Amino acid sequence: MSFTRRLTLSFVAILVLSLGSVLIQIWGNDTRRRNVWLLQHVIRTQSELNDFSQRMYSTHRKILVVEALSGSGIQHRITEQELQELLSTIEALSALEAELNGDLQEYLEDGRYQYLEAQQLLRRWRKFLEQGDELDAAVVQREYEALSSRISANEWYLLTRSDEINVGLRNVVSMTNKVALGVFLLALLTTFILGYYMTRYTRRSIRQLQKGTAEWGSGNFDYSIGDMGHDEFGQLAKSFDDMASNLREAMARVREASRRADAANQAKSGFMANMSHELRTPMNAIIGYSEMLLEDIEDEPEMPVERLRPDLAKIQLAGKHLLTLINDVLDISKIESGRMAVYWEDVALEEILRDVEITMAPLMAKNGNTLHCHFDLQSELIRTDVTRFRQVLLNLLSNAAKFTRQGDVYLSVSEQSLDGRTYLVAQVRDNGIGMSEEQLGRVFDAFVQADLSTTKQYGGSGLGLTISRKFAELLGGSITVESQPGKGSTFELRLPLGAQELGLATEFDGVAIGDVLVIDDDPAALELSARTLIKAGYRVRLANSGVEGMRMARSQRPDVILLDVMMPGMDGWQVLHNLRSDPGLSDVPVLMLSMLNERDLSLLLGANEYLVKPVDSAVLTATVHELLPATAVGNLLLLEQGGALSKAIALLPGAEYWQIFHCVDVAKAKALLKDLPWQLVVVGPHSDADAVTEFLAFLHKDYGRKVPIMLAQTESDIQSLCDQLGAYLNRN
Amino acid sequence: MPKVLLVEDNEMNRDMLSRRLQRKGYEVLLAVDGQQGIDLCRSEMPELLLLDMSLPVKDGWQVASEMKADGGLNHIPIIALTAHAMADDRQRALQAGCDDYDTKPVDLPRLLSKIERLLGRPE
Repeated sequence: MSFTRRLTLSFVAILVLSLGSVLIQIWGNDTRRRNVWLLQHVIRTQSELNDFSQRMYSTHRKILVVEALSGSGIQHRITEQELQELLSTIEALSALEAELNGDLQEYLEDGRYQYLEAQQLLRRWRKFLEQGDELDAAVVQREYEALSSRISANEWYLLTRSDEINVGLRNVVSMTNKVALGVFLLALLTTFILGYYMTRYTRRSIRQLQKGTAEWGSGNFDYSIGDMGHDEFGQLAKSFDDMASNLREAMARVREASRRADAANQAKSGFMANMSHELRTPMNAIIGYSEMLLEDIEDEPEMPVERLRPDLAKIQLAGKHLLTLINDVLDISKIESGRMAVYWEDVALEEILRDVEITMAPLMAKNGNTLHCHFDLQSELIRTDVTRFRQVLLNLLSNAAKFTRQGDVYLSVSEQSLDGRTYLVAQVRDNGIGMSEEQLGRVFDAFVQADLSTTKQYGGSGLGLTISRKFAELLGGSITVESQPGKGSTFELRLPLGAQELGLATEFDGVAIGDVLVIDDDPAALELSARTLIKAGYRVRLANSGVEGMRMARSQRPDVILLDVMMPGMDGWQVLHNLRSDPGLSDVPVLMLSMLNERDLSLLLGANEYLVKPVDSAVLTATVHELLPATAVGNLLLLEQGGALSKAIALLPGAEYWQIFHCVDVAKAKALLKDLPWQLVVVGPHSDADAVTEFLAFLHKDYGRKVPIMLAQTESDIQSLCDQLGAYLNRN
Repeated sequence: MPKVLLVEDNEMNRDMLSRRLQRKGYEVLLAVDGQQGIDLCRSEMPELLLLDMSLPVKDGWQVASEMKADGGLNHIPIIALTAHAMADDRQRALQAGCDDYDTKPVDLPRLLSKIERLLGRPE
């Protein structure tokens, strides 16, 4: 039951009790008032009856005296005035009798009163007095006595009635008092019990909440207040628990992010330490042998040069090794920072593979190995970065050749479809020494087998597989390995051929409202975003990995970036971090997309918006539109006669992002100037010098501060202008 | 002629350093891994051990601690030679029981002065 309901209920209970008490008081008062009124009337009737009885008695006596006087022969010894008085008394008694009869009937219950019935007697008296009729004294006496006894009976009835009323009155007063006291005590008790219960309950609930907040305050976010019912405190506790659990999750995510950053840092320091070691080793040989040679020359100036040759050869070898190391380390650093360029081209892969086969022949022959090739390619042209592909292949093959003696190395390259995607799969299998589980786990780590002696034996820097894997990831693919000691190893390079499908992004009619880069490892998601955005008028470029995305973002700064969170290799968080720490890209709006709702974290880490997949296409378009900076696409106004400058500009890198308006007529240029917002105005050769001068003056006056203006009048002007423009248009 | 043992797995470095020490008048014994180094110490009793730390079979740190725990070998001074030049590498080598430490690339005069000092001879 909710807290408010409990409170309301207790108030209602107290209210009902009080109301009952008041009603009983009112009823008591009313009853008392009625009884008192009745008592008053009964008492008045009593006194009236008494009065009636007195007057009847005195009148009776007077009549008897008059009758006695008349019987003794003395005619009308009473005066006319006395007679009239007697008659009026009889009249009044008659009226009083009627009134008394009414009162008795009203105030006494049936059967507990008797009508007075004095009329007959009163009539006899009146007849006797008015007409002088004979009065039978005995009859009158009898009637009078009967009346007296009825009066006495009624007096007794009235007395009993007044006693009854008195008793009732006392009972009502005592009862109302008792009820009032009872209700008061009950209300007091209820209030006390409710108050005690409420206080205890509230205090307990607040203590529970307080304990929770204290626990969370001290950093224990695993603490949960638990179920406290469904009332307001329960809901508050639940909200608190939810808050703590959200906080806990957020903390866990932040901790995970920081752990990942730490791990990356540690890996980097480890790499640095290893690199220092690896660079020092050949350096030791170079310096040592050089010093020895110097000593030799000093000690024996006439020594034949030929004797220096072996040591010089060692210096050369160590120097070459050092160079390989440095180049490889630079490659790794380039890939990791996303500065390694990928050159997609459509190539006839078969030729290249044959070329690789020929290149590998001497190395295979060295250990007496035989290379078996099997190529199964359906497509004539395959879109890939052929340099990187060849480099990885050569790496894997020379690795196989190194660790196999008098054996066989198999290279098979094929196209395979998986989950609606086509992959280029290259498998390099050997039957050489193989690797243990432990070696398998480290085989792609840097410097695992790097050592001058193995290098002398096999060549390479110990970074070959590390670089190969990074290249594969750069191209959106992967390298996996399976091996058994003594039986040989199988390396598999798997590169997606989705890049051709991604081509739809570049089919673009020239006028775009913005340039969007979509980074997502899922080809279906990429295509969906691309279709939606292209339909909405954006120029879209697609990257299927974090590394590729970073590279594309750096080479052509987009207006908005759509970024998936979950990606193999460099994930969305890392890309976001890299974007935000790159001075050239830090202010590019980033819209993150994910299956999970990590909106708060993503906004905290620098994303501008966050949408949970699946994303409605209208929402996506609207969100991207909102994020689009004001000057997403540049408008360039070009004024010239002849097409030299416009042709030169169209060929510049980045020109495709600009909407170029070419005018020959100065008046038209002026009109255009007013119609559209401009980011750049270029004025080329023109025959009407005066008009151009006027146009320039107009430009400088009204636009000079807001829009850059460039001038080129001669051939060499055009050349130098193009150099400047190239950088400007490319926005990098 | 003082007898020193050089334990070094890298052929080029082994060749270079041994020749340079021989020129300076030392008799140089060679070992290519840690275990061979310990075995040679037992059989040949060199006056000083020049020990590379990154070695196959048994690494330099293992060799140093085993030698220092062996009553028959713990009098032989050890100089650690390593291309690991980070601050705590020196500490690690000394903790393992090495008497001194030098980094590659080797500065020969500096290495010689360390050798002389440990052999208790005036430079």
